[in-house]
Amino acid sequence: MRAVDGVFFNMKKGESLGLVGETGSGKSVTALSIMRLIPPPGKIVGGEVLFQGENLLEKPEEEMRKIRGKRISMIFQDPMTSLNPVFRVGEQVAEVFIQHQELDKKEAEEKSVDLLRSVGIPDPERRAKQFPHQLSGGMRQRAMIAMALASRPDLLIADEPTTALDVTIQAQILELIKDLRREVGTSMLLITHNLGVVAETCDRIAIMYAGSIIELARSATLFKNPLHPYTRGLLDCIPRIDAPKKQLAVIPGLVPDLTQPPSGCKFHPRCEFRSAKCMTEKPELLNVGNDHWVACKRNV
Amino acid sequence: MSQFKEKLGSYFGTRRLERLATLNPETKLTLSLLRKSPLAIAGISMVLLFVLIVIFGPYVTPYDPYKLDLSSRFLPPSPAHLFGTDGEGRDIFSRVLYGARYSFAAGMVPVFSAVVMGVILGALAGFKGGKIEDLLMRITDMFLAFPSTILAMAIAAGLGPSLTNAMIAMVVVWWPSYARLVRGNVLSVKETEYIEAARATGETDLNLIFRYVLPNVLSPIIVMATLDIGGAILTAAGLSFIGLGAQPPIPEWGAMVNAARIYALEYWWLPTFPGLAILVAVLGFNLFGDGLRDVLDPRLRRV
Repeated sequence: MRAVDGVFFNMKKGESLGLVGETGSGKSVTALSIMRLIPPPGKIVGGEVLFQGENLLEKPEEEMRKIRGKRISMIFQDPMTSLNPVFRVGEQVAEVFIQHQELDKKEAEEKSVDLLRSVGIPDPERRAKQFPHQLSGGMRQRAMIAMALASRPDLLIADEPTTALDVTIQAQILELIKDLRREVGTSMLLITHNLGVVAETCDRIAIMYAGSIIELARSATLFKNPLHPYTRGLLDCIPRIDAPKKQLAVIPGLVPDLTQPPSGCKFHPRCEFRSAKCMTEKPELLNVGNDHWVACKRNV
Repeated sequence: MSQFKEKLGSYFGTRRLERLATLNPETKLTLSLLRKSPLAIAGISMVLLFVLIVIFGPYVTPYDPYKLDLSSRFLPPSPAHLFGTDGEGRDIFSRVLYGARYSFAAGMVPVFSAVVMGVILGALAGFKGGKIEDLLMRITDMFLAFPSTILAMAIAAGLGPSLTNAMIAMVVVWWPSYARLVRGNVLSVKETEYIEAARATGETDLNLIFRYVLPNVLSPIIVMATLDIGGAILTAAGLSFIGLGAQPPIPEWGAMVNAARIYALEYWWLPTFPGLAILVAVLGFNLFGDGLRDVLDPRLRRV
């Protein structure tokens, strides 16, 4: 089964790209593929991941390990379970410095306290000496962000960094990531199923459906002029406070079972604009002008 | 004087106090959990008594445990000979105190070696998976397929009767259960998000195993090892009793009971006191292990 097939996007330095899709559309698998951390028995069967001109898929494991956490970092969805429960928070943050900057333990722990302070954790000296279960979810996610940005990576992959948090904390965390990114100059791949989050944080947005990217455009363009029927459907699903009250739109049908993907365009069984060729031909992701890419026969 | 105070202040300085303050609730919780279980307290007391005897026993024994004195054979317990004397006139109290060292070694060494072996092989199998795991686990299954006591007896008999060989036999019999325990726990910890997150920061496999996986599977290992020490003492005594372990005149408890077998009906104190010593040591470690399990159980801790 191909969980991800036909994902194509590029990112510039300092840019932020939002990767949006339903649960099971292959967002996280895409992220893990970039890091080359697909858990066995899964594996990458083809394609390339170019990072600063080099194909990461061809790198030896040892070199790849040095890239992880140093030049490409990742933040995970659930801060409650992303920290090792048996080590103090400060030690864990310090680990990044020991691993990638070869500082000794004492220096690293001092730096980690500074780092915790910089991500807005109050009383960092005390917090650094506590265990993860003694910190709140928001604080833990701040600590995770601190670790991810510790070595000033070129690319930050944030896999639903705010999904597990309260709405009020979500906004704070997004703001924090934005500030730190500006400071460090890191590019960010933000994975989420929340269009509101990407609208606020990302320069460009890529929409994924059933393992493929089906539309990619600048955020403003995408919200104003969505071309793919699925993207439209998604945008119609968002309740709006300024629109007249009516029943929310729903995309009919279900996400396809990827062990038996539909022929042609994977969205065609749910698409209201489908034509005969949608069932047989696979649409390619094409530039329709103004850096707006879409994979739909209707726009050719 | 003020200088001294300053020094004292830096020694018991803020860092230290803070550390005490952060540890305190956990320690308090541990103590309160222990206090609620009188059996655990009893177990700890027995283990402590046992350890004290191991350390200080030989210095407080009134008699030489090996010295034969044919004029004082089969003396019943009395103030001069607290546990009486045996068929060769040796003081049983002194011999029991001395014997604690052999039993201690017979309990600790095999279990410790088995834990080390089991942890290495189990962690390797659980963490690496694939062919390595299959191979290691099938070997483990092979050992587990035999009844452990019979296998230990066969190995001890094959190597020749001595306490060292009995201990080797016990390691061979014991490590597979640790390998299984560790592998199972490693498998579940390996899937957790903090391992994935650690991988994403570029940790080496070795570091992942030692700093992330093993510390999180430590408590079941500790509990099982503690319970096993009791079992190991019993097995060692058992092997000695049937003549496959420590050989006379070594004052090992099992061997002493064995030597006293033929006099058991006329002179009850000969087998009784070494037997009681075995009972106390084994029971102590078992109760202590049970108590540890309760204290280390996170479900009980977080209430």
